[in-house]
Amino acid sequence: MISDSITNASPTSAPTARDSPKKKRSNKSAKLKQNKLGLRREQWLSQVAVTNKEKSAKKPVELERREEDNSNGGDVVDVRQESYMESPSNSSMGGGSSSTNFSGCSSSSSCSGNITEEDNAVDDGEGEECVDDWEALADALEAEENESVKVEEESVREQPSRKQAWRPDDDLRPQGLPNLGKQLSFPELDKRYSAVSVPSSCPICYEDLDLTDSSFLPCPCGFRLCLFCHKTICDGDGRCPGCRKAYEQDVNRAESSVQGGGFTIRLARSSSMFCRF
Amino acid sequence: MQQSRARLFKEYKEVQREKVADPDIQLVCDDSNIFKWTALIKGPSETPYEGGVFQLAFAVPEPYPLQPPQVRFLTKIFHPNVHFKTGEICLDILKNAWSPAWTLQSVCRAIIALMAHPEADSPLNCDSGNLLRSGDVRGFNSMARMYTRLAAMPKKG
Repeated sequence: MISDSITNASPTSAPTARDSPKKKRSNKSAKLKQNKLGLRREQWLSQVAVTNKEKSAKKPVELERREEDNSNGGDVVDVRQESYMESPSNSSMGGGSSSTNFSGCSSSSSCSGNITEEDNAVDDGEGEECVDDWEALADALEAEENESVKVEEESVREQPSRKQAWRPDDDLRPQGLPNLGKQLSFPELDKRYSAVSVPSSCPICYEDLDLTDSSFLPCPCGFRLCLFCHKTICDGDGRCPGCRKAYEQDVNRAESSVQGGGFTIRLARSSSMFCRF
Repeated sequence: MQQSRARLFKEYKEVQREKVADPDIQLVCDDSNIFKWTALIKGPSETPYEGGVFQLAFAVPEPYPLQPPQVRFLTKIFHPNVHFKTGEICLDILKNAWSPAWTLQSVCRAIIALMAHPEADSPLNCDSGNLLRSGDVRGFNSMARMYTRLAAMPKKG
């Protein structure tokens, strides 16, 4: 696993690695920054790999211990590379979290800050010097603070989409996950219908309510009745049997109160269903 | 016509099923005419009507349940909202406050509630209403109790 990541990363990213510090200062646009972050991560990865190699070559006595370190580091590198490969937009976030893990540094600065830290440390050549040269590191951090703040803003803006879990149509979504959207939708429907208890028969004529009747809710009070009885009542006094208030969508009342032609015609058409009874 | 008949038939079945559920109400349908019903209701406790059994006559109109049934007391009763001679009942749900959702059974329950809570301000029986409105509860209770004994209780001996 480790050797794979090393061989993959080093030849491609090594040439671009030299240019990146200059780019960082010259480029101001957001997109380029994003690209640069990705590039720098690649560079960083390759350099870590190279230094690890060098170290293991330099100190064959400590080989075993080093290998342990490498395997730890290699794991992290691998994870980071994966996250980078999978979703380029995610790179800065994922990189930030894993870089703090790797360096063991508890600084609360932004992800790009962490990366530069690592960058400088690696540029110096040896991991031990990284700790010795702490003050220089801090200076470098400060120097890049302005830029890192900008990057931070950028990442904050993009967070909503990133923090989401897998979308249902996401390719990366594990197959084993249950489809919550579907599961939720049906119980909700059931709840809505069972919340207002639907009588099995019309309380007026005591005939069984069919599917149309049980979805028919003529009054805001929730009193349900069959379409037949509703029509009969509307022909009479037109008051809801449940609350004794006049049905608002009563056809005759609506037609008599609304003088405008279009609205009246529309009402009559929509209520033609009732008139057939 | 057909609708009211079907509904009354269903109510009849419902009454047969719920006979045990409400021991204060006995609702029976006329053998030959489903539009004629009679009910026996027990006077509510802690009222002067306690221990009496009162007979009600229902005349169900054809547009029922869109129109309320006509109900009157067959048993003599001293109550401000019941006509002493005709047995006519002054109850809003039997007039303008009727709702097709009510049933004969629920009308009986409403009448029992009216017996327990007389409305002295809209009297059909002026004597009874005047007693209550003048605050003579004791006089009203003794009169009502007397008529309950006379008319609504089985004769002794």
